Amino acid sequence: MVAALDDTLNVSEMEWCIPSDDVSYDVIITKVQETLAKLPKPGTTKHGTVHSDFRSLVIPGPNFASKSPPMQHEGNVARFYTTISLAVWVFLRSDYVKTHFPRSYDPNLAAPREVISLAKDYVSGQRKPDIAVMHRPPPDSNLPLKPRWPQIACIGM
Amino acid sequence: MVGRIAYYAITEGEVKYASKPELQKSALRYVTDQTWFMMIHSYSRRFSLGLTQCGPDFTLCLTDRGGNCTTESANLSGPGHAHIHRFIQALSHITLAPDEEIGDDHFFQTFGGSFQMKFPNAPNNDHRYLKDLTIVSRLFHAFAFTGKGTQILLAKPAEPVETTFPTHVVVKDSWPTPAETHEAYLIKHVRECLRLAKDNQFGVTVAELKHLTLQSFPDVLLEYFCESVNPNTGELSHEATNVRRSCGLTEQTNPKVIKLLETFQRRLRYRIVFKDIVIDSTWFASRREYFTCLLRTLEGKDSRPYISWTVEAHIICLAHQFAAIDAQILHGDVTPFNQWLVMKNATVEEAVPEWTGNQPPTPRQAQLGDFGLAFKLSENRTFIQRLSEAPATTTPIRDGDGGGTGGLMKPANDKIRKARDEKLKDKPLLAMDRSVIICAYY
Repeated sequence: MVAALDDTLNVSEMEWCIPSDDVSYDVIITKVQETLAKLPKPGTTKHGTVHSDFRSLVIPGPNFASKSPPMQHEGNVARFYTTISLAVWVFLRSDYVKTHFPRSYDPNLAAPREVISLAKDYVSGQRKPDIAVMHRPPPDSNLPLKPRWPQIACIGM
Repeated sequence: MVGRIAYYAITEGEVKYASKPELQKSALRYVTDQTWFMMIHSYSRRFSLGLTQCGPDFTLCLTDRGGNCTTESANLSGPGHAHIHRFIQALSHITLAPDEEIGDDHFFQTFGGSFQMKFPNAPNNDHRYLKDLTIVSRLFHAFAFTGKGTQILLAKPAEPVETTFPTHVVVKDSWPTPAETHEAYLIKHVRECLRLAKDNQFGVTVAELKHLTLQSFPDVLLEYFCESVNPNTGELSHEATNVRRSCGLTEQTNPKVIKLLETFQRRLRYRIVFKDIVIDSTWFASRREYFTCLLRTLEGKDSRPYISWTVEAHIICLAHQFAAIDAQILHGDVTPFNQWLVMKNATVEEAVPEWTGNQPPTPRQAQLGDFGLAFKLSENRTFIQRLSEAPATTTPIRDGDGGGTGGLMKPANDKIRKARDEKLKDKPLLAMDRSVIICAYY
């Protein structure tokens, strides 16, 4: 799984890819599921890297080795983290985990928390973390444009 | 991602994405600062997680009331998949783990939405309802000026009580400085001085004090330890920590490991229970109410015309200056958060009174509270001299915990220490809450 993600998202040592903005979460989930289906079945001894057909959907993402501030860097990092979280979420609910790692299998695992960029926003009018992992909102609510501190689960830079 | 670092360490045009030790320290310092800020803004936050990524280095930091700890960085460009595996694990935990595993625990006893607080030594008289309180919400949080995270919490008796007892009380929950631990004693001292002055036993003419009222100071009735009980397990809670600010240090033996210097570790919680339900003065309903609050808390009244003030009357009639001059107690922390508006009931309508057309509501009762940083003025130093000094030098710590105000505090020190030692006799690893009960009457 790690190898598949690495193969898909890692362009070079410090440059990463992310799904383009027009790629929905559902598409990402489907692609991860398709990749998981290619993983070796129980009892097989096949080795080698599993390639996904994700590459056609990704664009250059966060570049941590940039010599100058990359455009949309914080947004790209948020998208990058979200993609990884979605992939892991799908992985943990997949049949692959069910057969290989049954203790980790959890079909009811709640969807990952949203990771957003607040690079151009303030929280409660005072400070801003660049990255915010949001608490899961109630089912019938929309994510506010300007979140408040209690709605943020974790922050990052 | 690292945009705010520029605020701290990086001038315009510098690269903030490549991995540099100094950059990582700055980022960590900032994210630690913000995780603390985030934690104190949420009822149920037990700890806060922060993450930094500087170049290939991904680091997690955890901030709680016991300090900060930081993981060694996962180097995403390192050989093999081990570091990437750690990175994915850490990130996935943050986004997928249950709420309580990322610090949001609604049963957390101090800042949770509801928890129980016991005062087992409360007397079996009119105040027996204070034996068992349930914290139901937070009224306000005065961290902005002092940074100590003082909170005013609304509580109600856990068991139904007679109608003559109040339905709600207020708990002041704070991290103690040495002086704070004896706040109740200070307030009691001020009130006693005021009473003596009113009775003309203090060498002050009654005429000069006629505008002062006991409402200016909360009344201390009893002093007790407090036990916080986890509502889920019934166990005595462990709250022995107090770290607000930390600074990043690079470990000498391994420069990749950044440790945050911990200060104020293993300090006791401190709580006071008030009979009044209060909110801070920033909740004023009108400008008139706000300035009335200022005058009432500082002067003890609000109708005295400024123009008639003489210098002498001006000094004597200020309530908190009365404490300084006559009671020899300097409040030392008069801020909008320590000037309180008293509500009759714990309701939204009382907290935010409605206007009637263009007519503002009648100003609420004001009260000067939070004597946590007050100190006894030294007899051989003048009031003005003490005012000009930094608080750190005016609250000397003589013998560690509880020695902040010197001889004045001795009786209380001994009493508190003896009771605490008794409590901790069989529980050496547990830290007890230190609390006093205060009821303020009109």
